[in-house]
Amino acid sequence: MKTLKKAVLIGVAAIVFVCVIVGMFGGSDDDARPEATAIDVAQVSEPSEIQATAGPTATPQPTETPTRTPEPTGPLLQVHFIDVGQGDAILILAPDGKVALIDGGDSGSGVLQYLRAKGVQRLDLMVATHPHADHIGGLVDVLQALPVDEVVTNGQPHTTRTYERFLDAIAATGAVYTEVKRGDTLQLGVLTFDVIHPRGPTGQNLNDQSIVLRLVHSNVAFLFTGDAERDAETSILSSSQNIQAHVLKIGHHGSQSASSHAFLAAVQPQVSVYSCGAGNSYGHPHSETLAALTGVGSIIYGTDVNGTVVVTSDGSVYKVEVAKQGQPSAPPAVTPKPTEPTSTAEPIALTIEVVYLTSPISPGANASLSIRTVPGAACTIMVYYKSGPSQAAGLGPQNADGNGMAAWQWKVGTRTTPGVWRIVVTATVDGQRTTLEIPFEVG
Amino acid sequence: MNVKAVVDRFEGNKAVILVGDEEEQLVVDRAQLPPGTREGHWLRVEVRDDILTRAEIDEEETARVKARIATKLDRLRRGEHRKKR
Repeated sequence: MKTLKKAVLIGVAAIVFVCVIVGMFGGSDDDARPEATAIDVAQVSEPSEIQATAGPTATPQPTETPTRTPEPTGPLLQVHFIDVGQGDAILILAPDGKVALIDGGDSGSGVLQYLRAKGVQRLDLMVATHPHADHIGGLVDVLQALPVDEVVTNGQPHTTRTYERFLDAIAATGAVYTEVKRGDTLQLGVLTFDVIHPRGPTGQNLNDQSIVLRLVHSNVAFLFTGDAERDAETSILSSSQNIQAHVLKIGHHGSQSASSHAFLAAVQPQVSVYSCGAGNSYGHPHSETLAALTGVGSIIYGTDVNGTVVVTSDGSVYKVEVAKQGQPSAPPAVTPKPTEPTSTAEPIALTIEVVYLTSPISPGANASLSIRTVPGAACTIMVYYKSGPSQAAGLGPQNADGNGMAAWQWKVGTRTTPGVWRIVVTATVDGQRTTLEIPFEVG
Repeated sequence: MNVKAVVDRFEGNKAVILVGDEEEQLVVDRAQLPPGTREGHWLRVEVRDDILTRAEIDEEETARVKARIATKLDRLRRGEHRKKR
């Protein structure tokens, strides 16, 4: 069912190039502060029709070469912020052919399929920033399928079966197991990651123990923050490490629990990428985070809107390619009312049309619903079973995209009572709301 | 209360719990969990139709799993999984 996620999106694949000329700076000391001397944003491609395939494996298809801005040339570093729904997964292809993966999304989130589609047959380095399921679940899938040389963690254990399966999978592969802390470095061929955080495997909040890595590729710097929240950011700032980065992986899926003004002011990102799923249950990305990033002058991409985001660097110039064009925005803060839909006449302009629904469906299977309504409409979903509205992950509100499409994916639990139940979807735009009730058969 | 679940994480005022052997994710209000519930706590829960209807902390199971995982982690740290190769 996973592949159905975007099967209905026979959409427009747009490539946005952000080419940045990064000025040379004195010496080649990695600790020096790279200075960007120019930024040029060029939208160079005419949107071209492609048939979007399985979500996470949808590949950016460059259609045109930018003429106004220099292209990265020579040995290239590629950083893929993979669309794994709600979770993080970052593939790093080093200029010398070495391969690293930072986090893997949830189990079954498609990271393994993405790696295979990119021809990745083994990993030199795997980093689990912290042991939450939306970061390590997919790493188990990868460990069970591909050879991995070294697995790096912060040493902070968890008690979930997902975490236990992660440990079991490492043991089964025979990979080198390493724990890192602030001040350590990780080597990936010619590249060096500085471990910025955590100070050590202590503390209650697992997010704040996230491994934070800074990667400097000649004059282009990246910062990968895992789910580090404000306490971690405060600790990092007080450590006086260099955290400037041209490209920032935004902390904690764009949650306002991360991305403090002081932290962003120190990073000074030109390009920022968050990773989260459309219709997630947590309201990611939060509007406060997007505003803070805009406030420091960063361009923002999100995997919920843009699909997989790929940054390619030659060490002095980098470009950004996205699978889908779109402007990241916070999902609507609409609290759906668990009431019967009103039967008043539908407004003429605002309609909801079902594009796809998995029904009938068996308990334990993944369901998906795609609808079409007015572009930008605030959409909510409620799935009512016998006992009431489902608490499955992934049934959060979202904004319809530029084509008016919105889609949700959720699991129908194995304990769901068979029967014909109902899904209630609302769309709101300019204070006008419409509601659609859809029969949903479980059995 | 015949199903086990574990608290994977908190997200704002929500908690993500993984239910049963399948680790089915439910996103529940933190207020639905007993006071003092922390990340990593094992719970005994009642789930009807993907809705959490009851939850209590299972300290015994939490301690048992912690001990089992600590042993596995120690083996990795000592590199025992590589020595047998």
